[in-house]
Amino acid sequence: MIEAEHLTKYYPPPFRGFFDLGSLRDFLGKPREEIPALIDLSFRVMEGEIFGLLGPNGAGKTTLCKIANGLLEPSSGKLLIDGHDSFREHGKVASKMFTVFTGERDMWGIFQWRLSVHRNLKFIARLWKVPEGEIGERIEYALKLLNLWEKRDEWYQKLSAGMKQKVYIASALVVQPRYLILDEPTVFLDVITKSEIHDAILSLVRDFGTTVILTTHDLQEAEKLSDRVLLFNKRPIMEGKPEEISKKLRVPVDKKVVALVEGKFDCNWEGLVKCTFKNGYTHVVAYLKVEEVDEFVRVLSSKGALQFKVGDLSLEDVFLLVFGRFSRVEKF
Amino acid sequence: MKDGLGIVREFFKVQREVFFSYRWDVVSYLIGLLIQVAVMGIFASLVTINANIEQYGTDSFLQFFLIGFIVHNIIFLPRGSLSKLLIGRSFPMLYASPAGMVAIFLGINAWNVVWSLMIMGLITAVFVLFYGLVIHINLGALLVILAGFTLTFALELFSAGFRAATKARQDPINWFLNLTSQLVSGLYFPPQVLPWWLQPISKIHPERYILEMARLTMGGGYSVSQIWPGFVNLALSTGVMLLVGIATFRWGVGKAMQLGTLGHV
Repeated sequence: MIEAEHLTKYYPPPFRGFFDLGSLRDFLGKPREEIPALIDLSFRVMEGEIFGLLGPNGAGKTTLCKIANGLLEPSSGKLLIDGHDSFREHGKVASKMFTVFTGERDMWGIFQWRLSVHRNLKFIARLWKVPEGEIGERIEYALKLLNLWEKRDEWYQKLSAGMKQKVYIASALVVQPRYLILDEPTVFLDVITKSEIHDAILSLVRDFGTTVILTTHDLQEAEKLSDRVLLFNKRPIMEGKPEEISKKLRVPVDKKVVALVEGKFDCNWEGLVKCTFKNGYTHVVAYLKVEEVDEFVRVLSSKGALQFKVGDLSLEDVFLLVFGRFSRVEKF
Repeated sequence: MKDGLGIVREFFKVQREVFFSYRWDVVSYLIGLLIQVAVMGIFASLVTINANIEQYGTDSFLQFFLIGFIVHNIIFLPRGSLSKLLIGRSFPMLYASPAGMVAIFLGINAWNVVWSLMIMGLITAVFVLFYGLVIHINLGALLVILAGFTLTFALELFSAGFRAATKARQDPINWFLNLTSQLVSGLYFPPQVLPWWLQPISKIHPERYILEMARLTMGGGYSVSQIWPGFVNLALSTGVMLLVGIATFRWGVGKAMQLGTLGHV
């Protein structure tokens, strides 16, 4: 079982060098101000469960993953894994855990670019002390499940970004950990790759009873995979079944339109539209229903709009709309 | 212990495979090395220096220079060994793994150390066979090299702690050590020929004493008892620096764990 007890993390301000005396004083002594990353977060993850931690960018998801792996000292509170403090007793829990850090290029450093996919997975298996007799079988299972079997002898550097992320997930399938922590495992990936990774995660839980903590800012992903979801933005906001959280986060709009219009543009539109005039251009951000988008774009085009971007709502947008930050920034 | 050795062996194999995957680079490196060794040997044979070279236990400048070169390369092996792990991209996953950090540290450096020692062995053999280099391998020489190696490791501990805490991209300690070791430690020429204003820096540079003792033992065949007072000073300095290095390293890693900066610069 994984249990967070009033987990709190404040970061000291970043060190700006020895010539900045204020920064040096903060660095060597007690900082004058600290930046909150997690505030009083408590939750409990049961065996064999997929627990979603849903939060916008900067909510503290990666901070939590670092604490779970003993890389970051919490300011107060603790994260317990099978009763052991993840930071202070990291050595006792390391063999039970596997973490897929956020899908940025930098985090793939563990994989050797000039070794084959198969050899890289063998290295991970040995690092995690997988019994020697099972390594080959597990690698074959993982690569076949993720449609990477044909690529097993290719150098890692020749794979696309999506495939590299799949190799990362494949290593979790090879290790078959008791606890798997996934830090935004499908960020930046296309729909097909996302779906393959989702199936692999579900297979780990179904076939090996793995307990999963999934951090994401993708509401649909949390809804599809999680048994329970904790919505948080530094502090906990609400916890419940994915459908309950989804219901709470429902907003009356579907699309976000961002545009740049030359000159002053009068924001005379019914709905959630914000216009900012700066340096001779008007920046327009609008949240609209699907059926309103074409008409809105037509009006903007007639006013000489230079650029358009129409997209789905991100969790940040939903947060902005549900928790009132958008309306606080701008009166419509 | 058995697990740890297995991890070291696995790292060693992986790094060897990666190293030899750069086939053309390896071939170019070996060709470059061959040329460098030949040029160094010729250069050292041609140079004559009027600085009473016998006082260092070496008969000629060739012996003076080549022993310095070999010892310098061996004792500087720990340089960067810890910082490259601590601030490297792979650190978060390696730290999160059940493998012990000591095994990971040894493993990540194993191939580099073995390869460098093999190359130094080869260079030494070439110098002995083709340039008439005479070297004595005795307990004194081994102790001096071991102390020098440990001292560089202590400085590396200090440096890695500092870099982990401050996220420094540059490594000012190794940078200073490298630059000064080439100029003032007596690596290429006796420190006595330096101008008066560089003499004080030379006198506080630990490599000067390591090279002096290494030349006396390896070149002149001196025993441990003959270099004893100097060796005691070196051993004591190494011990003190090791304590300072460990303390700085622990402080740096602790600070990085508060800042969340381990594993990336």
